[in-house]
Amino acid sequence: MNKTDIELTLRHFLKGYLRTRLANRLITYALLNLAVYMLLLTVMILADSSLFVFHLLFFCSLSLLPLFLFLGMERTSLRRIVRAIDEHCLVESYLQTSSAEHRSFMQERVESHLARKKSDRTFPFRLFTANFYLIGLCLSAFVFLQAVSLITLRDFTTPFSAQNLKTKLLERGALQKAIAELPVEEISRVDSSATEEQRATAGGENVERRAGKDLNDKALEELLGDDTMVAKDRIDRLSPGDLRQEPDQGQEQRDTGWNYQALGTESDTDPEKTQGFPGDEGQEIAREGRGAEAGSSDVGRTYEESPLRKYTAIPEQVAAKGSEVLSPTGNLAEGQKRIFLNALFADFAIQTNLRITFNPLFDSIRERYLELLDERF
Amino acid sequence: MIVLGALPAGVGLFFLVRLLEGTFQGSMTINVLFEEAAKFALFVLVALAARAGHAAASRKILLHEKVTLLLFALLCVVVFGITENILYFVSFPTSSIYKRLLYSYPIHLNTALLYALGFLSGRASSFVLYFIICSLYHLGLNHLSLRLPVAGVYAFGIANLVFLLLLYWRVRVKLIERSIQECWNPK
Repeated sequence: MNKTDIELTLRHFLKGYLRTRLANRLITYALLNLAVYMLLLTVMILADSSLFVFHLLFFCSLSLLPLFLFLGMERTSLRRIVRAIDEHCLVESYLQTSSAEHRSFMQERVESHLARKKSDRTFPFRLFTANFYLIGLCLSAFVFLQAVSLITLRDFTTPFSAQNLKTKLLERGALQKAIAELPVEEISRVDSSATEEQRATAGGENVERRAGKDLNDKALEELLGDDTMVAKDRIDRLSPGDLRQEPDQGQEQRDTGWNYQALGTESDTDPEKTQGFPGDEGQEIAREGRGAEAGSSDVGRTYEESPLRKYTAIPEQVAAKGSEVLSPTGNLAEGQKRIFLNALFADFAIQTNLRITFNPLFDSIRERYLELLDERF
Repeated sequence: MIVLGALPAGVGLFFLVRLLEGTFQGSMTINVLFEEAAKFALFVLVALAARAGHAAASRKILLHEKVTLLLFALLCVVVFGITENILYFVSFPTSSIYKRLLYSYPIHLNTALLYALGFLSGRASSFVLYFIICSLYHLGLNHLSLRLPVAGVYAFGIANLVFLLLLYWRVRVKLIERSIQECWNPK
């Protein structure tokens, strides 16, 4: 082996060493960019950062390839590699000496040593330690991304597309905004308060009763508003008669049948007439024309006051008035007639709780239900 | 340290070229010539600095010192390319930035590696030759990018990356040869 052969052998070793380093550096570059990509996706989910920032940063990260190729280039010298494969500084001594006599003395041993090394795999491929750390970083970033995605978006980020992710985030934001703008709470509250006011059960609830109930509520509030001990004393001071008063009033109210009445009618001012005129007295009044019908619980009302009667009388009115244009008999602006309608349809008012919530439990139940359906069919 | 030094130098080089292009308002050919002339001048300056260092130290400049200077010039071009792409993305924020990462960015890197080969050869004629090759390569690919469909541009981009790795390997082999020579002829 002459000088040229030794030079070629050393070049062969160096190329092998550089190939291993280059492969490792490219792997480092790929792993680092993968980790950066996943971290940027995570940041996008958490901070709702823009696609512009995402692509800008990811592009800058991808642009760092030359750094992985070039950096450290100035430190790669033959001497360092020779030391890695050398035994007892044999080759280095051979190269360093300028004496031809020394070289010829060492040449045989150098040749045998290089021939042995050439047959071995001097620089077998193995990953840099930094690459193992980077693999760990990538796995951690992946797990972190999926956890954040599952918590925030309730789904795994499997497509790894920033665009898809941004679309999901926008959809979620729009949905949340729409839900926030829904007047669900107010409507239900208004509905419940309105129905409380306008409610009339089949048994009926007249204005007086509502007024009485309001008074009771007010008194209760006053009681509750007082100190606990004071309220207890006040309750203790109540006589048995006071306690019986309320059921009696309720009994009277139930006896009236249709207990809603028009404001301003006779029955409004005369409590006795709200219960009707039983027996002969009623018939007498009916004969006198003071009531609508004898024996009816509607005694004390005018004919016009019953909305059903008014409704059924419309064909007769049309026949009587001929081509005359129908017009409302009362002043609708006053809104008095609406009381009847409200009372009639009050039973249809259903109190529903339309509050929209995102309960993960419901979602899991729904998903389990769908799974069971799939298993069954 | 080299990176920190190359960062402002590369950005400065880029804006110098933009200033020249804005002043002369030339065609694409003129712009390409400006860019290549700037990179060529950078590598020539680095080569002159190595020679001046050798003269001042009154000894042969060591290989790793030469490579450090070469690395500085290479990193300047890297920063030049990154600055160009970032400003392009700011002006046109689309996914075409990744096309540039495959196409125009490797053009700058490849021309820089060609100048590095000229630097390692140490001959002025090689430098001039590489300047002509780089200008034609840059101009030709710029024209192609306007005429090729998107898929073609990406295919050329991959070819550009392969060319980049081959040139890088060539530079490294050149450095090995120099290193062997340095070891073989100890001072």
